[in-house]
Amino acid sequence: MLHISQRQRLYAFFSQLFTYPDAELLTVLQGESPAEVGVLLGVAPPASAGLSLVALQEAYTGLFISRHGGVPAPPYGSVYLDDGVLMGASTLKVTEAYHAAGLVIDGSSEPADFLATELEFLYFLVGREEEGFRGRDVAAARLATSRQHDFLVNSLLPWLEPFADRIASSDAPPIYRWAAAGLLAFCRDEQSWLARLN
Amino acid sequence: MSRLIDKKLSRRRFIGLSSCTLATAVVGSQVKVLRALATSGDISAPVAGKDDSIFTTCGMCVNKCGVIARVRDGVIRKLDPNPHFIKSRAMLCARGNAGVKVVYDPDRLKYPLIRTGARGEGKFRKATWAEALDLVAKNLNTIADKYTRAGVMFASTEGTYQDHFFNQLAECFGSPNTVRHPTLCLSSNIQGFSATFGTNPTPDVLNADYIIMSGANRSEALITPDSIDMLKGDGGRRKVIYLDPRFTKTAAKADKWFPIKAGTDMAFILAMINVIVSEGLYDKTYLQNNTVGFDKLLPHVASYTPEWAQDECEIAADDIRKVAREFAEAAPKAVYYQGRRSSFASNDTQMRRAMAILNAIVGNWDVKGGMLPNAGIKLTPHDYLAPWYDDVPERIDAGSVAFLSEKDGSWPVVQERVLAADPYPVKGMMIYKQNVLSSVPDRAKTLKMMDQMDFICCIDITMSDAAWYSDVVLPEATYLERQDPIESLGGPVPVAVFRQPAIEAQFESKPCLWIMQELATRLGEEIAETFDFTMDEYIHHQVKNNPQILTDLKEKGVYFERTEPNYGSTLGKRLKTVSGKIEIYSQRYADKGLDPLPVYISPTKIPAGKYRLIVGRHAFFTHGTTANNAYLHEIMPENTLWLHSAAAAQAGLTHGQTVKVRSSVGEETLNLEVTDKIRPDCVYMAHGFGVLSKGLSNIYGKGGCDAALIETKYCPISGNAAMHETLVEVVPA
Ligand code: SF4
Repeated sequence: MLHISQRQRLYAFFSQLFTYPDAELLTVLQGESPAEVGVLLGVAPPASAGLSLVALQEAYTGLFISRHGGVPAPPYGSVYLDDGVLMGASTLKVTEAYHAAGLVIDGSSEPADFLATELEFLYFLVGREEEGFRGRDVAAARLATSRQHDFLVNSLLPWLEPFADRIASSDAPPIYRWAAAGLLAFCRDEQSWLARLN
Repeated sequence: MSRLIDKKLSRRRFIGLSSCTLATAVVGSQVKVLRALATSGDISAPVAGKDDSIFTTCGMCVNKCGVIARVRDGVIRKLDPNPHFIKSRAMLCARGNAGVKVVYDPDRLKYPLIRTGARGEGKFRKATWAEALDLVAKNLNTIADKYTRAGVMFASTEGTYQDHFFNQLAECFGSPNTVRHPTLCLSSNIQGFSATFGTNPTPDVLNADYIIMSGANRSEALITPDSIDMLKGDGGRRKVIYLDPRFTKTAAKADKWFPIKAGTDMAFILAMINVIVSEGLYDKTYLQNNTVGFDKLLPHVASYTPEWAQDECEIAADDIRKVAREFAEAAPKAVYYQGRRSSFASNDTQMRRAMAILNAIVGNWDVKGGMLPNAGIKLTPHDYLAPWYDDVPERIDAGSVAFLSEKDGSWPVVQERVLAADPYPVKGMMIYKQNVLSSVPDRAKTLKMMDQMDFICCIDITMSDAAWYSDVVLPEATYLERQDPIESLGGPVPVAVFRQPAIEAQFESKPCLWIMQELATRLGEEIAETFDFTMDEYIHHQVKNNPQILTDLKEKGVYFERTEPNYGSTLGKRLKTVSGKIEIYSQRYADKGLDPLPVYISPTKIPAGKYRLIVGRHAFFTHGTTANNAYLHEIMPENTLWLHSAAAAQAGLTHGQTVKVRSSVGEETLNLEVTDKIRPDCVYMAHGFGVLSKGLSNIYGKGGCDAALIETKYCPISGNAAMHETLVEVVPA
């Protein structure tokens, strides 16, 4: 089983990876993090040699932002859960989940169910869980884990699977294929132990 | 594991996002987008946006129907027709209803993009607005320095209400080379009818007892209110005669359909005129008082008998005679409906002249059920003084056709001359929502034209073919997210409309005005000065002399001054023609060396094994931009090639088979629809399909693009493209 800090870092890692690439991400990818994540996931990352920022940005743009004829894998939950549209009923549910946990979106023009934001939310909840345990506030920790479970089951996992499938059958570069498959495996794992816990 | 996330960098970025240090402490240093609700206890911030109903205007096609956007929880859930909107008879069509999908389309443009790969390779990166706009301005200035300001062409759509700002930028930048849609659509109609009546009038479809339509497929190529009114009729007296090589939905609704041979409509019209004048079915005194040149018409049409026309159009002489007599009998409540698109043949302007003359001789001008002059709602224009530049040559297409529109230009001529750098090079292209690669005939040529550009910038809401071939792509806010200025929609019952944002613009999309203002600032003070206003100031200036307009727009979503046409307002007054009367004979044309009365020219014979390609619109799709709409896509996933069953049998082709359609300029692959709803000498495909990139396996092969097949031909009078003069062959794929 993964340690709480490892889970938190995995969410942070994937949230950053599914955000538009910047120099910071390139540094992370060229460092040891992917290999460490690979160890946790049990699947080694593709070689990072030769990764360039522009190539990453091109790939991200073509996979997730805009492409002639449509991007293969829009990174928004409602596209999979609400008949192909942005801002569907499921997006509102996500906003409600953030709100219930005392959060609002700030500083982003992306819809609430943007993958990176959903992962950031889980990162935050794991942080709450950790704080709870650290401060011996079991109720707070339990609330955080039950929120994680509910969010994974109701909002993220239902679309993460088709999303990962679409990436797998697209022309995505290896890093995104690895990340999508790894993220799905990790989230499934999280969901199953959270289910046992709750 | 400690290096998994670089804590230092993350923290710096977070602080940049929010000055609320309390939130930092609460949320955690690596949370970038989510912010804690204030810990001071205010957790009452609304979860979702508000509920609202917003009056605005549809932006899915040219008609601009009145819409009420129903917003729930800050999201547009539904578009309803505006019951006050008289022009569209309070309706919205399938496309209008599907407008919500435009806003919430995951494939809409979201951020400025800068091309990184080769043109058309499809590699882009996201950019900030500042970076993208700087790049556009820098390129425009470089091209202007090297090739004069005429070296940048500006191609624009119409009807977004913000196209005015794009055209203003073109003018203030100093390029004469603006090119707009009319020569791909209706410029021959405007020319032919204006040469006769001084205006392109509107048929009073609601009140006409007898309507003849030539290829104006109103049940599919929707024009409001005509598409609705043509089905009503007054007291059961209405008769609709429809001429088209295809059995369209309009043919299905018509009282009589004639599968006319394509390109011969003028023969039918001239023969009708022949019958009416030779049988004396007109009012002599009326013609004497109100028209010029009727005496010249008599000998002119003498040889255009129904028997002669029968051989040309393949419509029986007796039928032509019958229609002519019925038309004259029903007059003046009878109209030969000119339709909108007149990009059929290179003699289209003269064909429209013939239509106008036929209408004129039955005395239907400005009477109930006849052809009506248009009026508008008076708005105060925004005046600006465009900077003056020396050494800017005239339009690149200057002198190419007899009557060239100064602002619209002629697309086919511009394409040819830019490609030949004749008489000067054009190396920059600014595109505003015109998908030039799917709308301008001969796509291969347009591609070459774009290939030789030093710089292309495209403003759009979707990654169109044109955007795909651009260097910088700028995302415009969709019509449901914008405040647009007031627009007068002219007609016998004019209305004023505007758009209000139903929701805030999504992602980083921006209205055209904002983009133009930002560009103007970067292009220089003099240009920026002309854009020194806010949208609110602009609108208030428009209604400065009649504030009621804005009040009504806010309260009812539409402003109008009357609900009925003002019949007869021009009778006895000077028309806007040279003579002031209806010009059956055009001295103006004669002076230009053009036929002053329409002379018929037979279309080229179709050799064995070839077919005439005819194209058209569909009720579910407007142009290329609607083809990606998932709701509409479901109704019509692709276009097919129509071929008559006898022709298919002869060629050994079967229904559903994939075929190649080949013209002298291109080849497209699509599925064959074997049908008896088309003449055996024609093939048909709907406009708006066929993507460029073979690399896009999920959509490549879904239908074909008409622009890839159509050869560059145009009317020498109006410059209107001639889209039905291309002959194609069809072979198994
Ligand atoms: S006809 Fe349809 S698409 Fe066109 S403006 Fe009206 S509702 Fe919109």
